[in-house]
Amino acid sequence: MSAEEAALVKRCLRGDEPAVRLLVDRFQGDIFGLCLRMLHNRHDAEDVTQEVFLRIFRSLRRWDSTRPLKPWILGIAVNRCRTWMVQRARRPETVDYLHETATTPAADDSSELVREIQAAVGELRPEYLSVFVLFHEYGQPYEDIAAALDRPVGTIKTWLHRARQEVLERLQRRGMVASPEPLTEDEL
Amino acid sequence: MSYERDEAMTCSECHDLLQSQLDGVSDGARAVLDEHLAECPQCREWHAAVRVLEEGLRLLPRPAPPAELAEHLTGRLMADFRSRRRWRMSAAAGAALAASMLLAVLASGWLKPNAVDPWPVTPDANQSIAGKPSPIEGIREGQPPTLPLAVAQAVEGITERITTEAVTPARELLPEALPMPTLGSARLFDETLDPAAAPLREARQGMSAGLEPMTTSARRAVELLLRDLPPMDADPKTGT
Repeated sequence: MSAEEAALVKRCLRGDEPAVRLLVDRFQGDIFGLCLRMLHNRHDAEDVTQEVFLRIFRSLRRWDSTRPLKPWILGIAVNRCRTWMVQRARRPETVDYLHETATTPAADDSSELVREIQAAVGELRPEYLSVFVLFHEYGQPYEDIAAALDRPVGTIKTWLHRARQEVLERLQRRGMVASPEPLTEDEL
Repeated sequence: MSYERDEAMTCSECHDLLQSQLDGVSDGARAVLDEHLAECPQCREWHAAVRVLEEGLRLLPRPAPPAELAEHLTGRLMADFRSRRRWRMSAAAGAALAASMLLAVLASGWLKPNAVDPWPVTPDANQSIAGKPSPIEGIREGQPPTLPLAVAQAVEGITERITTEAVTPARELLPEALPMPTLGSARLFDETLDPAAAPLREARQGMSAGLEPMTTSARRAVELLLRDLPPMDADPKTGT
């Protein structure tokens, strides 16, 4: 958290449009990216991003200014995504709906690896997925993830370790991991 | 996590160490790890998978939002802000109107103990539930003052002021040298009004008739409220 963040929030609460735009520019990338990772659909990600920002601004008065803003915002985004996923699962057209591509191709020959990792992460259950993305893609420490998701740090660590395990097992099953030779004495 | 050189690492410990590696935590047990990997093909494969994952995570692109999203979001948020602000102002105005209507109902003179009441309350209406004496009865019979008395006096002061402010303009229609009418002499208007001001009397009667259901209900509601308030000498903990 910083004095600059607190001042920006105060301006937003007064309806200062440039301040609102500044806050949107600062966090829209993170929120949209997280939504896309969790929902696997760009259209849904845009809709939920808008919902997330509306919720942020409507509850901005309740933000504890002694804590950093980003984890609080990402926590709202995770919760909205999870709610959206539950609602979407009830719709019969979900199967075709989810076939829309949500991944961004990598810039080099490792596109297959990136696609496999994205697919593996996409198969994780929502709580594992959110922790994996927040840690590995958004660089959030355990403590901030725990605060954002309102869970103990130990639970977050457990979820992340299990998420990695599932991703690693899938990479192995899909043949993305070459069977390594034993290390030689020189290498040891 | 530290290991003695003669301590063999288990597979579970090896997996924990690899998890720490993915956490970005460097550990001084590298030599012991390598010894275990040299001897355990399963952990060796697991270690290889971790390295593949680390490489893939470095290559993972960050999704970019649409170019027009920021402008759309800002417009939507500002529209929502203005809508909520209008709602808050409407709610405040509505609350003020409700409060003034309540005062107008009370200004009909019910709470002043000596007021002439053309619709006297029936005896059973002043009987409280559970046999406790009504605070209003207590006031009329000169019993020791209680908290409800202070509330009644405060409301009486407010209603008298409002009534005075409402009646003052009507004085211009009355004959000169006429004493200021008070709430206590409600029949004054009937006795002294100039025939030209008869419509005032009719208006008063019509307003009283229209307010009758409201004043009766308001009277009973306030009576119930005052009865439930604890007396001034009540024990603050038990309320008795």
